[in-house]
Amino acid sequence: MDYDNLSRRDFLKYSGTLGATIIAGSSFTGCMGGGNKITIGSLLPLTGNLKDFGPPMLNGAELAAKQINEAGGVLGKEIKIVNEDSQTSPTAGNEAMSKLIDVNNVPAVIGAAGSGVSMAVVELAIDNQVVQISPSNTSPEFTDLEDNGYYWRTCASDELQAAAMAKYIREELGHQTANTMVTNNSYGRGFEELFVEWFEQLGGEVLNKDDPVRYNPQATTFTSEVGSANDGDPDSVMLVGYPEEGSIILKEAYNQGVLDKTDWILSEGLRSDSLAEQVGKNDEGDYVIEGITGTTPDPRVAEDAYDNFAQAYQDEYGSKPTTFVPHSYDALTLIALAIQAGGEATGPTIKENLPNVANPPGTETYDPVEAINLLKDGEEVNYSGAGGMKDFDENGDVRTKYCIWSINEEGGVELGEKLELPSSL
Amino acid sequence: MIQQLIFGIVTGSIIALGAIGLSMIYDILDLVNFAHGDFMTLGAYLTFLFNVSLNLNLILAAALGIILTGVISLILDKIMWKKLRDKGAGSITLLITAIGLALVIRNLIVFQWGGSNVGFDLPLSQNLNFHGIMISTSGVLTVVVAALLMIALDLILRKTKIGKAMRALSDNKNLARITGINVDNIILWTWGIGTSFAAVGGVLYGLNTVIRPDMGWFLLLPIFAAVILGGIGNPYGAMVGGLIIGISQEMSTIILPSSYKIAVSFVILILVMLIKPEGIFGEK
Repeated sequence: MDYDNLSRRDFLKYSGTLGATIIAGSSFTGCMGGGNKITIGSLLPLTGNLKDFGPPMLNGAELAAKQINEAGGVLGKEIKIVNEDSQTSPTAGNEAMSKLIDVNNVPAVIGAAGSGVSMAVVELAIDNQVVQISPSNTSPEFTDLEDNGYYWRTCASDELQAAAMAKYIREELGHQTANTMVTNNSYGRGFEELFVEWFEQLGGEVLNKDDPVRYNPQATTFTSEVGSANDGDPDSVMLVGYPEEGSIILKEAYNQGVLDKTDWILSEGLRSDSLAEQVGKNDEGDYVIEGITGTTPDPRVAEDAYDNFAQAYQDEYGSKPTTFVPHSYDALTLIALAIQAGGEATGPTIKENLPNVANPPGTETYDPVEAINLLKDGEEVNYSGAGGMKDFDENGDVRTKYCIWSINEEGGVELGEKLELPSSL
Repeated sequence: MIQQLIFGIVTGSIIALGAIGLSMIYDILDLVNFAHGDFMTLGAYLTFLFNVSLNLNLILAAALGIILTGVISLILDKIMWKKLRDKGAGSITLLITAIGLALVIRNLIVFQWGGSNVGFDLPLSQNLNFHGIMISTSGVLTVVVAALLMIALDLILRKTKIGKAMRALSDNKNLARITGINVDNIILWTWGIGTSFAAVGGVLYGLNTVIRPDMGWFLLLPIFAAVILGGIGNPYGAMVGGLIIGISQEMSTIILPSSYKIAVSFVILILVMLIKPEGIFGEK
């Protein structure tokens, strides 16, 4: 009897450690940068829900570093990137950020990929005077963040995308009603709130706005969530999330017969070439989400800058750059330019010089090497990015244009026509 | 309402399949097997290997995948767990070893198959619809398979020598040894049954959603909750616990935002613990 009670207590105690172990991350990689190197941190996910995005984004930054290093580096030094896996987890991201700051002494960090992780680590960056530039945080919550100028991003806020999506669903597709279904983090909630505002302003009705579906991406199944997302038979459902759980949701929607019944519109977070494959095919061998559409920042607005980058990326890695990859190329380039312009690799210097190298006056260029050389000759530079960014505003935000994307017959992503923003934006 | 109940039974069946093994292994081996969820994942991936990479029929592939997962657990017992037991390793040592094993399995899976979601080679099919109440074909299969396995386990435990020996061992280890029960043999049976049940759960989970490297690891929390809720060491408790957790998660979405559904099962767990601390089927 006593034996049973004792071991039972042990069992409970050990199961408690499960919670701790699940949350706790581990990071063993990385080492100190040498005297002839400038070490820049990156906090991108190799595991977790955003693991599809992390590796190509890291490639984007590495490509910029390689081009700059081959042209003689910055201040005569080579740029080296140390990546820590954020695991798409706020807790693991925090540990990784501390490690980058305390062990690697980096002046700037590229990341995180997800808005939720960035929000969890941005305090560390501000307190330690380290510049944080995210290539992909689209949450509107960062615009008004009190960041002392240490937080920047090279992609545009979802304030614009939510408006573009609302206008697309309401005016181009002509839908009267919509439901929302979003991942429960800064990205999903921020997007949803602005979408509701814009959709109603455009004369539509969001049926579930008082009881929105905000799902936990780690849920075991999404059957009930998909059911609630169709309550009231809306004309369309807007889905904001990531491929890992988004593919399960779309598969479930097909199973429940609501994928064709309502018009599903996806955010840019789901724009992935592997999405269709992950959702699956029907018994005729066709991808069940063929023809589904979504909205995304339009990489083509950068025109030559993007083409030039995409070609270099293709030559280096043998594949096409995916979402937010040009933005991480821009992030590394801007950090390098700010260091070159300011004459030293410290957080405060980078922060001071970022607007100087990205905004007018100066010679406009999208080539990192040309930009560095101009700075070395003592001239001013106005960098416009491969990801479509032109200039930073006073909040460290950039603007961009949006377009439609869709899944084609082969299950790949195809970029479609450009979207107009509502005229008041 | 009925709809959520059905969804809940499907989810609960998968959790129950995992919980049974975790509970049995704890009971017989005094091992809190943190790697149990990853055996579910392994079962799904081995099935994926036979089904997609080697182009076998899904049912055959699942049978091979599940058996192979069970065999791997037996080999691990021979080369690892038995040695630890013989050296008199304490429960903390065993626990840490299990966490390590979980990490090894998961990372080997990522190493071999990559981090992205994969799926079985099976066309998607729309749900069956009975007057507005839906259930997916994979959901029907899940519930039927889980129910058959639970009945089979009940028969094994009550009617066979192995099952009786298992129950004897769980009641009193020393007494069981004295009566001549071959403990090593029973341990192997426990691993085999517990792990292959987990592998079945993993395959069914993969069929209902997708296959991903951390699927089992994330399932481990609800599984632990199910084991504790039902009464630790009691396979029947684990079945009931699993169903309660699954059903309460899905039913809660009627009144609460769905982002709270994981929390709901733990609130129920706390309530049961307050009223009956030994669990529903637990003995004082």
